[in-house]
Amino acid sequence: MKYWDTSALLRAWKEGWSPASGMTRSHTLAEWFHIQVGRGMVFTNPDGTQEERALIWPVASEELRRLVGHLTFVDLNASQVLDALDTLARMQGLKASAAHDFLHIRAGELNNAQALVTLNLAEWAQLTALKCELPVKP
Amino acid sequence: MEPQQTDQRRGDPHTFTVDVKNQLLSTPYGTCAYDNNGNLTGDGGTRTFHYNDENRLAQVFWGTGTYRTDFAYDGRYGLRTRREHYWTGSTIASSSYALAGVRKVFILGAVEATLAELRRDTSRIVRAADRGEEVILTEHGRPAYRLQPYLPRVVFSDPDKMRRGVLRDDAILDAVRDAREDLADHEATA
Repeated sequence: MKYWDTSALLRAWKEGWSPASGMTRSHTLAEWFHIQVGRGMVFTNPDGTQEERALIWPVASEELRRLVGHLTFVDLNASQVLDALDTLARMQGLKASAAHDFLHIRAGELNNAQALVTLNLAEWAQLTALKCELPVKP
Repeated sequence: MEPQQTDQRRGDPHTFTVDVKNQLLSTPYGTCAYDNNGNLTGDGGTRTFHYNDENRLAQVFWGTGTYRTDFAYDGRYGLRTRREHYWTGSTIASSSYALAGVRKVFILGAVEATLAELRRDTSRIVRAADRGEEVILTEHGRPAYRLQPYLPRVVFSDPDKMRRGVLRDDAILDAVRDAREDLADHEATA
């Protein structure tokens, strides 16, 4: 199974499909929901103007439930999080925000993910030996 | 009977009553009031609260409103400015705070810098109008902070309508990063 991060699930939602299988952390749900009902995402209109679009809360909740309906949830326990942060601390030149990404990555690694599905290929590739790939509509 | 909650954190018991919707009915200062949208309009004391058409807090009046705080909003960050009107001892003065992106504005040493004002500080701007009106500020020649314009914010109840239009991958990654920064800012100020 492949591990899906928040950005990949946002892309899948935008394209109107959902993963047929895979895994993610429950934290991904919070991130996805937070983004969709919070500031939203910047869309570009046909005339070139931009606007931030968000969903109302109940619709975001319904959409999310449908989106992750075929995913398995693999969460890290506290010990695993601390171990992951120890590992991260030994790496050089990373931004603090890499912690969020690295916890996603470790969840995939510890659960034997075949690949990590994300839009953030460039940064994730520096953090794992696992294959990282973009979400592709089945 | 209405539930009661007591605040004894500082040793002095203060009793508050709340209704079934968990709205405050009374405070130690008096009876609370609400508008038809459920917004608190009075806390029983000297303060009254006024809201705009989007039910966002627009003004807080102390007494007759001579002393007040005004709030203005924008599309991107929600809360943009807070303007305080206060008594200096001989006159009423006011001061403003640019709350939205304040961390980024402060690095220029200008509390109330607007995007236009920032643009005039050309020595610190390395890139503009790449993606819309984005401006990147630099420190020692390296990108350090990023400012984005206030965009119109549209909230959808129909997900299919929301999907129309272009959503670039970097816009998604920006949204993920912004959400995490929001969380970090919230935790830092909590």
